[in-house]
Amino acid sequence: MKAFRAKSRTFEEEGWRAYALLLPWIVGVLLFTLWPMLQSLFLSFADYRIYGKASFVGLENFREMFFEDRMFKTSVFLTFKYVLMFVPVKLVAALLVAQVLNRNIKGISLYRTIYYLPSIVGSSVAMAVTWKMVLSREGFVNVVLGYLHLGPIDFLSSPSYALETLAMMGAWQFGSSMVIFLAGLKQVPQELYEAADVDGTKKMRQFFSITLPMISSTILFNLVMGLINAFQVFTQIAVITNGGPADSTYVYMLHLYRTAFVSHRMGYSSALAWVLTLIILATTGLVFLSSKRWVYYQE
Amino acid sequence: MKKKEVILILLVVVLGMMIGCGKKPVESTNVSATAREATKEVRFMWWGSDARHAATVEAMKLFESRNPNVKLQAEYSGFSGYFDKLTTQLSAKTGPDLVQLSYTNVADYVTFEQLLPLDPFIEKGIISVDNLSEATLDMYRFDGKLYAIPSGVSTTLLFYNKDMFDAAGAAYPDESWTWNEYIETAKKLTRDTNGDGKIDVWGTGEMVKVAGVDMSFKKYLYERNGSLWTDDLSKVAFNSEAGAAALEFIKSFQTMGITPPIEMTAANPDGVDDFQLGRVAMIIASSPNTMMYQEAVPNLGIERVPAGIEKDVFWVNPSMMYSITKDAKDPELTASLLNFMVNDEEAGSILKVVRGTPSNSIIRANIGRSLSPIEQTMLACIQKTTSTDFVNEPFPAGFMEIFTLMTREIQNYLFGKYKSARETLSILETESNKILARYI
Repeated sequence: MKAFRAKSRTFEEEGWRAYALLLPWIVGVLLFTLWPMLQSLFLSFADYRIYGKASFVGLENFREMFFEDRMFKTSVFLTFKYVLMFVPVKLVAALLVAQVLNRNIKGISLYRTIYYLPSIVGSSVAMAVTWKMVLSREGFVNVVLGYLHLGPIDFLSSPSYALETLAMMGAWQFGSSMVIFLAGLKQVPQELYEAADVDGTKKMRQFFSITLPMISSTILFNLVMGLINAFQVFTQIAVITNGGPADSTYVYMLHLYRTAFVSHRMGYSSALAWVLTLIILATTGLVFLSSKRWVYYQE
Repeated sequence: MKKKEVILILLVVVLGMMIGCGKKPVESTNVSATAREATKEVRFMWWGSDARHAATVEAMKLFESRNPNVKLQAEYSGFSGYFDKLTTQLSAKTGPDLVQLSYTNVADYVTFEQLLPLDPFIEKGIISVDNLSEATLDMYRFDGKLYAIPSGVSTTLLFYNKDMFDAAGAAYPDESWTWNEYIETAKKLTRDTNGDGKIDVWGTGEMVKVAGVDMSFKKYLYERNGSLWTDDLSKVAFNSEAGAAALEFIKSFQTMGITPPIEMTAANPDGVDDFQLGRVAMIIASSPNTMMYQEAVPNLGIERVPAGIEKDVFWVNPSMMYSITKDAKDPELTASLLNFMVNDEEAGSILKVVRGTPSNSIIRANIGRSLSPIEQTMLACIQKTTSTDFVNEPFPAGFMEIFTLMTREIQNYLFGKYKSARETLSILETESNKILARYI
């Protein structure tokens, strides 16, 4: 404890040396994050057609969004549908794999690496193109289904499956949530399981009565991060289906992108961006409010 | 001591940032200072396929060898994302000097004041329009000023796979064909070739997306005496009986089962169609596809598009346009490069038909001899596709956006998202009119 205090005193004394080292980061945030955000907030109340000057139009962009833009409603609906499929599947997959990997098996670190790999390569354009090929009519999955006398299934080109397929594809990148779950699982005191074993509790019951409550704060964290990512889904969908077939994967970020770079309406798309921010804030806010009922913090 | 350290760190950080942001010297050291000053740069940006890239870069080298103090910069890519990139560059005032535009969207860029009028260069004799079609040039005059020069002409043609015709015992298309013959033959060509009880070759490819709505929906509409816009181009006029009939015509190929299921076609990789994949025996597509198709289909046949059932409608379009942007650093030099691309005979023999059949009539006559047999067939078919008794409509500013919208909504209609052609057209009318109103 003494050593810690001594350390922190030196830190205070040399505080501005730390700030000097942080300077590139601070400048980056101010210049490339905060300033553009302020600009986009201003633009959301303006009509700005990329060329020329922006003119103030008050709440016109928001009025148009709620009363005239039919693709706004479609895209909000589809995005919620995506979130509701993507987030639970991703969390369950991450937790199950973490549970399996939380053991002392030979070569466990190799398995951990393998399951984490999709999160590193998964969001790239190359991976999206690969998925598109794997799931196409002549692709690997349909060939296997063909041997079983099933299909072919148009995973990505039929309006009834496209969004579902994309959600599963996204959930495949559960690696980072898995690593966080793994850390959470390691924190659960072993004596709880030992006590349960002595009482003769079944493993399944142990999982629901010990593991889940003990890692509920980790679940909350992963849930919130998952929600934030899911609402902003873009790259995979833009590359693979680009909103089609028949607008069945026309999610919110795609609408925002098209408004900005096809219609060149930067003001309107900034307004869309801020509405998305509010939707994410509201949803995560609700999750935090509800967390009082189901998250258990130790100590 | 400590202060010195902090100052040292700050210095390192600031210096590091300055170096990171600093402009690297571009020129090599063996160029003398005076020569470096005299070197002028011109940036040319276009989209296309590998054949177009290779030929254009070669033609640009020829221009450089004739003008030793000029350095040309080629900026090329595929079509997807091309206009997003161009618009972003222009809005940041870092646009290219010479730019390739689509024949449909010159008006967009004129409205936003991003292009230079070309008339001053014509008056000074830098650009010649003597061997170009006056009627085509006139489509690109706005308020009496010319803003773009066509690189060539193109149109839609009927491409067919001779092997599949032979296997089905069907007669090859000829120029007397109407849509009736096209449909009857397509029925004959739709077959199960490997005997597994499932159809695997269809008569025709999709009737709208490959040719683009500007060449397919528009043609079927014109054949029924409809038109796309009101006379002053301020509103759409296609929400009519003729429009509905045109859309139903497109869908009827699906209902008749002579084109692959739409879910199958929608799964194709970008830029690859059913004709290249060997799934269909005929396809209506634009003439520059010839080069691409001859690689995929060894026994390729080309014919003029069938005549309309009610009325014959044929026309040729400019294929791509050359324009000079407002960001051009040396407009006169850029203009001379433009002139070189369009009018120079040696450049013409390098570029051949990579941007459509050359717009310059002398070059067009010259290159005929150096083309492959299939390219000569294409040329002959384009000549047969001449305008008849109708007036082609110009494209209003905002058409690029409407084009994207129409492509999407017609696909929705084909997927059965809307009950009727009329419902589809009403949605298209409302949304398109909103877009047009924004450009006025």
